[in-house]
Amino acid sequence: MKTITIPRQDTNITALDESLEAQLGTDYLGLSVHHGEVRVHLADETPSDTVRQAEEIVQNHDSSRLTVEQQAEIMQRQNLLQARSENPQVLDTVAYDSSDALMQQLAYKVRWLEQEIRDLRDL
Amino acid sequence: MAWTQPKTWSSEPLTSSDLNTHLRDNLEILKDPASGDYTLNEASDYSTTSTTFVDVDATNLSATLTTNGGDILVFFAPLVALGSSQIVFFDLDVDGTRLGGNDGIVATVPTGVGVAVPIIAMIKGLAAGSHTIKLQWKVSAGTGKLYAGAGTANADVHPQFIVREVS
Repeated sequence: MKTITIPRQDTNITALDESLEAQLGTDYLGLSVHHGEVRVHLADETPSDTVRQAEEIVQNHDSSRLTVEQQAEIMQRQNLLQARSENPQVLDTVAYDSSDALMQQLAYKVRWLEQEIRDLRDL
Repeated sequence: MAWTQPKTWSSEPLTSSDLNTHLRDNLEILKDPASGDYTLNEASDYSTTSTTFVDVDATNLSATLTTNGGDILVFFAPLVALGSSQIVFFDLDVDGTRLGGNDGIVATVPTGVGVAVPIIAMIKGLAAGSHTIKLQWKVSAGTGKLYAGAGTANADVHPQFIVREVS
């Protein structure tokens, strides 16, 4: 295995890993990050042009650019926070007292699950 | 100072030279065996996406011992984290050859903030001389993290990498 070490701060590991894999293909084995250094692990037979390409990718890496998955995670988190703020109270089962028995049972179950989750979240 | 196979005395004069060689020198070796340790207290945690084994830290999580021949015990119990259902593997590189081979000597599927992974290994039957032992790791997918006392909230732990001759 060849390992090249490139000094740089502020690495978005997931995004850098994704672009190295996309651009270097099977020569790329992974990367490691510690204390202002990025180590790129390459297959033994990696051509020198590809090694240079790997160095350029690391040097030109923009840590503020998120991957599609990272953007989706942030969106999911924001949606969750918004839903929490829109639903500060547990379900009021009184509103279901006039419903049929099955619906009342469902409402009580939902309320109970909400209470369990709030307990887990120390609310 | 090298280990000397203790002499079997018969009917002969007890000399200071023999006592020094076979008792004093050997006891000094037993009292102070070849040993190396490093306590993590780094500026940042370690991360890797490598799916083949690579050094975690070739400088600090590496020990070179000059031994008297025999076994070396290695102990390290870091806190590691990784994404859901992904696996982090550890192995030891002994003079350029991995001890466990295959997927290493220990693996775990970390959950939540992470799990402590006890990495304990006896490297047996090494010849007397210089030996270098390095910690290596890889992941099945995703980004593995090994906490290194770098100030991360609830994960600011300082595991100790210990390598010691034991026989």
